[in-house]
Amino acid sequence: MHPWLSRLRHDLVKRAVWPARDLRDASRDPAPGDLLQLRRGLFDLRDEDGGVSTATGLWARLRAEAPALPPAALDAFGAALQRAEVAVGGLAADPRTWPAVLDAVLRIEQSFADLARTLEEE
Amino acid sequence: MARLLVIDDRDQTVEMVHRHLPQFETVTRCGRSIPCQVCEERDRGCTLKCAHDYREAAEALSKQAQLPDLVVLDLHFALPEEQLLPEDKSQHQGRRALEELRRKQGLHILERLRRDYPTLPVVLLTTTDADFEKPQGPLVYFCENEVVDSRTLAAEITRALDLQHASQEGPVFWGRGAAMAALRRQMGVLSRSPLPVLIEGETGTGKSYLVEHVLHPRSGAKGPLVVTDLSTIPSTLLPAHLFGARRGSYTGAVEDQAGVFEQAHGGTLFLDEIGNLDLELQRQLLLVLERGAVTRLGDVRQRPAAPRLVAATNLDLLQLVREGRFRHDLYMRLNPATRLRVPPLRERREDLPDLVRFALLDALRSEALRPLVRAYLARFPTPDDFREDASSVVVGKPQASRARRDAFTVFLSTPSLQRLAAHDWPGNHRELKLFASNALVFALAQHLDAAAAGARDRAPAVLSVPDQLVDQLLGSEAAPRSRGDRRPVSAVTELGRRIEITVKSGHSFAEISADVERQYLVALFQALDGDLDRMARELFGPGATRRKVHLRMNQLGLRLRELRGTQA
Repeated sequence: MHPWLSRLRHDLVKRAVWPARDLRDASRDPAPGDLLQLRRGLFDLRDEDGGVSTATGLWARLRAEAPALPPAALDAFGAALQRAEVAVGGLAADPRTWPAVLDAVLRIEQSFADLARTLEEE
Repeated sequence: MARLLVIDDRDQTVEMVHRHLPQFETVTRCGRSIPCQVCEERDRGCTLKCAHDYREAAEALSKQAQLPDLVVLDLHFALPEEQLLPEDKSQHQGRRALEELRRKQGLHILERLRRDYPTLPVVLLTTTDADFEKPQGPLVYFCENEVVDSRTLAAEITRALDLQHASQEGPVFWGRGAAMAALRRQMGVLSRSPLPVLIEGETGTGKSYLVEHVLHPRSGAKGPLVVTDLSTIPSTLLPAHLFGARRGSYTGAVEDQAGVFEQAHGGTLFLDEIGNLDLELQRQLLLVLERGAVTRLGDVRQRPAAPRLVAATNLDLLQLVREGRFRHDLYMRLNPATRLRVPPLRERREDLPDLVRFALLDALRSEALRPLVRAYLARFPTPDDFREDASSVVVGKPQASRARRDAFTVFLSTPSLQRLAAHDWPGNHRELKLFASNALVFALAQHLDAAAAGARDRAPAVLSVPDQLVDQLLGSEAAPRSRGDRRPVSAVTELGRRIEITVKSGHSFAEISADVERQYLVALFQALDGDLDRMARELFGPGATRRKVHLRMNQLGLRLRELRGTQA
């Protein structure tokens, strides 16, 4: 795997997707702790220097260091992150929306796979 | 409950283990003041945190009285440069090299763990498309799936623990080597067969132990296991011992006596050192095996005697057959097609760290050391809840902080463990067991002597085996030396045979006597070009047979095959 993709997966995708997958596998309504994990997966990330960052903030830094990729592919991944952040951000107001939030977060994984495929083709 | 140490640059893995995998206990608990914000404990301030780099991992391990069952190690560590291994980064200059170092930092940590904690199993969280050569090692497990959720993590941890536990089965440590795995498979099949089993293996490899703990228990036989070492019974008593005797059949037969064949009827008869039987007894043995019945000496009545026969030898039986010293028909009756081979310890180097650990713990619990242990415990104040059965072995420098308060902790340094793992152990388990007992006797006595000399009080349960002692014990091995390290050839003078013998200090008189005898036999063997008949005449007078020499050599742990190899 390309080092940049490896970093993206390690610093961002894995962090965001893990709690979402666990919640999907739990087959039950989420506990407050589950929702907190979802939130942390997008808003409580660490950059290389240990600083706290959000998924979109981290992505902005990583995008600047991206290898040659079509801007559309990068935009698509960024948009998936943004949608997930908005969805998770709305959880506090209405926790019942969690299934949709879960979908939005899990879509990050699919977007990452698309990005990896594009890079491979390039 | 399995105890895990998670080494990861992010706390997510340990948080998820804590939250979703209650079947595991995480051993890293540090006094973190920041609430961990992951679970129900957040308001109380969760203190769970993983080791973020090797330094923190070593610190966490040093606080544990016992090593965890498994280390969960991530591959990618996005850490500042100063936290990365190796300390010397002259080979990793530049942004790209550092990035590469971060992506594969887990491998560097793994290497350090292998060096400092050689018995610690590790599961490495790799990606399925990892672009590096996977380090080989019996205690290293790689993920088969990419871990991006707790269910997969649990499956990978369980798989690694299962593989790890598979090396141990009840009292038998099968280890991780291919030879022992093959032996285990073969034994699994043969234990269900009623046919005889032939086991080959050097002295001290644990042949009888395997019969006792694997072959017989698994056979489902209703009869007992009877074990006989044919090399330790005088030849004149062997017929009665094997086949039984009627009262008065020979001088000293004061009552009817059942032989081992009868005793083991319906069970298992283990005949160790079958290669030592003379030809006449071999003929009688064959008859009993073919008829399934035995006639006691001096009797005419046949009695049922149909045990399942397991025979063992440290000799090359086929070679004995070629030399006419072992009957071909008996050899074929022993079912040589399925013979088992127990590997010597020098072929199980990957298992030696564990075997050393087991030997030390067994020795500490042994009856032989009980008086010394009691004296030690009486001398040093120990807590009421002191549990000798919970003793452990720690690899590293002796530190009270790494020792259990309520049980013995035996410290062995990493270089000593490496030395022990590199040793050839010609006496195999027997030699290892002796080493462990000797090491502990010296360690216990040393502490007791120091206390008597007024040394300041020390942690009662910390026992250290100094490097010097290990060197001394391995250096004083009494078994035959390897090829190319021949002893001075003896010379015959007018006054008799003259040989050079080395006597080690600090041994008991019995040990020194046995060692002197051993060295004399080796020197004589070399001087007489391995002619056992001549040796017999010289040692025991005219008419003495080679068997007598062979028997004595066996008792002293001298192996003919190895001596012949040294001679070549």
